[in-house]
Amino acid sequence: MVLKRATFSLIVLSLASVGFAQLDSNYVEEEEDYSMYDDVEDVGEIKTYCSPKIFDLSPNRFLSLGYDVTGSGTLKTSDEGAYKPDDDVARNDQSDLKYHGIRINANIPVISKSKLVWQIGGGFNQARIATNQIANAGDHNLLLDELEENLTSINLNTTIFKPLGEKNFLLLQVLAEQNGNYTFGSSGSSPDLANTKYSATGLWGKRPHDRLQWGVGVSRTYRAGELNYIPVVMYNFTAENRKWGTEILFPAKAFYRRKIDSRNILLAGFELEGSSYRLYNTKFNAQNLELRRSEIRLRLDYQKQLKGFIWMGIQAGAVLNYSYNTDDLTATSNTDFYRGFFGDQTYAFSNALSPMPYVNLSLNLVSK
Amino acid sequence: MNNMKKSITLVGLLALLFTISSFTSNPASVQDGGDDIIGIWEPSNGKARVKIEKIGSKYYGKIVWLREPIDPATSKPKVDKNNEDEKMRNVPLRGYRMLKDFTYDEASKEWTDGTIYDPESGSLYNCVITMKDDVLNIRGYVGVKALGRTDTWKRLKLKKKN
Repeated sequence: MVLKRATFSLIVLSLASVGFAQLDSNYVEEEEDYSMYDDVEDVGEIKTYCSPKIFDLSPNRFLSLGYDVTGSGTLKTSDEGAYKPDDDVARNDQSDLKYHGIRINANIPVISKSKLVWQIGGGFNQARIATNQIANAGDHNLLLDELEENLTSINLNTTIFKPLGEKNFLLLQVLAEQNGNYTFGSSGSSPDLANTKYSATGLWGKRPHDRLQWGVGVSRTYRAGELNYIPVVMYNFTAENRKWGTEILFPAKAFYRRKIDSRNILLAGFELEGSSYRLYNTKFNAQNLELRRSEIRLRLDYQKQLKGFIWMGIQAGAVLNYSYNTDDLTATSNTDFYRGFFGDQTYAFSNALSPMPYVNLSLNLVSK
Repeated sequence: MNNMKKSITLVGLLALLFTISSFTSNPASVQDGGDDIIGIWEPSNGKARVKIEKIGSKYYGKIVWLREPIDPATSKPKVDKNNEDEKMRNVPLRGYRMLKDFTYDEASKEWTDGTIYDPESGSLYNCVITMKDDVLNIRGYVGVKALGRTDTWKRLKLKKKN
C-alpha cells in the first residue's frame, strides 16, 4: 500500500517536472507592478540610430527565384538611323516579338547592425526572345537575329545604409552588370569585362517617425536604356491606420501599397527596368552595337506569405517600352557616351516596341 | 516495514527537491555566466523595456514597459495585433514574452537556441545573444545567422525610491 502511494507520488512529481519543462507562452505567472519600470537609469551605453525600414514595407528579399513571360508586341524599325531600311524608307519594317526567362536574385547582409547595414547582392536575369522575321526586311531581320540569341544580364551590387543619428541617414548603392546577347557555351559569344556597365545612387534621407522615410539624391543609371545622370526622390510612407502606404524611389519605381493583412500585400504602380546590352559578333559591318533597352512595367503585384519567411509574388501588367534603340559605339572608339535627354547623336537603329502584357511569378525568402 | 517507509519517503523528498531546484526561477540558486543576462534592457529604438529572467534552465524576456503603451487607433493598451496567429491578436504587449527559450553556451559565451518576436511586423526570428559591458548584441535571423540583423540593447536598473 505504502509502495503504491510512493509510486503515485513519484509519477505526480514527474508529471509536474514535465509541466515546467514545457514552459512556453502559455506559462502563467504572478501579476507584476509594471509601474516600477517607469523610473530607471542607464547602466549600459548605446547610441540610438534610425532603422533602415519603416512599418509595413513590402518584405525585403534575401533570395528570389522568378519566371517572367510577356505576350506579343510589335517591334518596328523606323526610317531613322544609320541602318534605316534603304529599299523603301516609307515602309517601317516590323515584326512580332515576345520573351520569357528566369530571374534569380540574392541580397545577403554582410554587416547588419544598428550603426551600419552593408549588403552584397547578385542577379541573373534572362530574356529569351522569339520573333517572326518578315520577308525583304534586310537589316531589320539581322537585328532580330541578334535579339534571338537572347539577352542576359548578370549583376553584382552592394548597398550601404549608414544612419547619421536617430533621424537622418545616407544610402549608397553601386551596381556592376554585364548585359548582352552572350552565352557561356562554346558556340556563342562570351561576355567581355570591358563592356561592364556601372551604376550608382547616393541619397541623403530623413526618417521622422516609424511610418515615413524620405530622401533625395542623384543617380548614374542605365535604367532608361542608356547612360544618364538624374535626381532621385525616395518617399516611403505608411498611413496611421497601417492599411496603405507608398513605396517610391522616383523615377525608378513608384507603388501604392495596400496591406490586406500581415500575410497579404497588394502593390500597384510602375517600375522602370533597363540597361544597355552589347550585341556580340553581329552580322552587321559594325561590331560595337549596343541595344538601349528600357521598359516601364506597369503592374499589380500581389505578395503572399506561404510559410514563415517564404513568400510568393505574382505580378501582372503591361510592359511599356521606353527604348529599344541601338547605338553604334565605333565612332566613340568603342567606349560608352552620354547622350542624356537632349543629345543629338544619331542611333544606328531607331526602334519602337508596342506595349505587351506580362506576368511574373516568384518564390522568395524574405525578411519583414 | 518502517525502514522501507522511511526509504520511500526519502526518495519522494529527494525527487521533490530535484524538481524544484531544476525548474524554479531563482537566479541566485544556480549562478553561472549565463545569469549575467538577467535584468532589465532597452532596445536601441528606446520603444520598450524588456525584463530578462531565468525560468527553469532557460532565459526569457518579457516586455515590461512601452514608451507608447496606448494604441492611438483604439485608445486602449497596445495588443499584439500583427501576430500571424489570430488568437494571439488580443494579447497585451506589456507582459508579452518576446525572447524565449535561450540557453547559455559557456564555450562561446552566447545565449543560443532562442527566438525573438518582433511585435511591429509579427515575425518570429531565430536569435543569438552576446553581451559586452552591459550591452547586448541581439541578432535575429532567418534560418542561418548570415541572414539577419543585430540590434544593441542597453542595461537599465531601477531607480531606488526614497
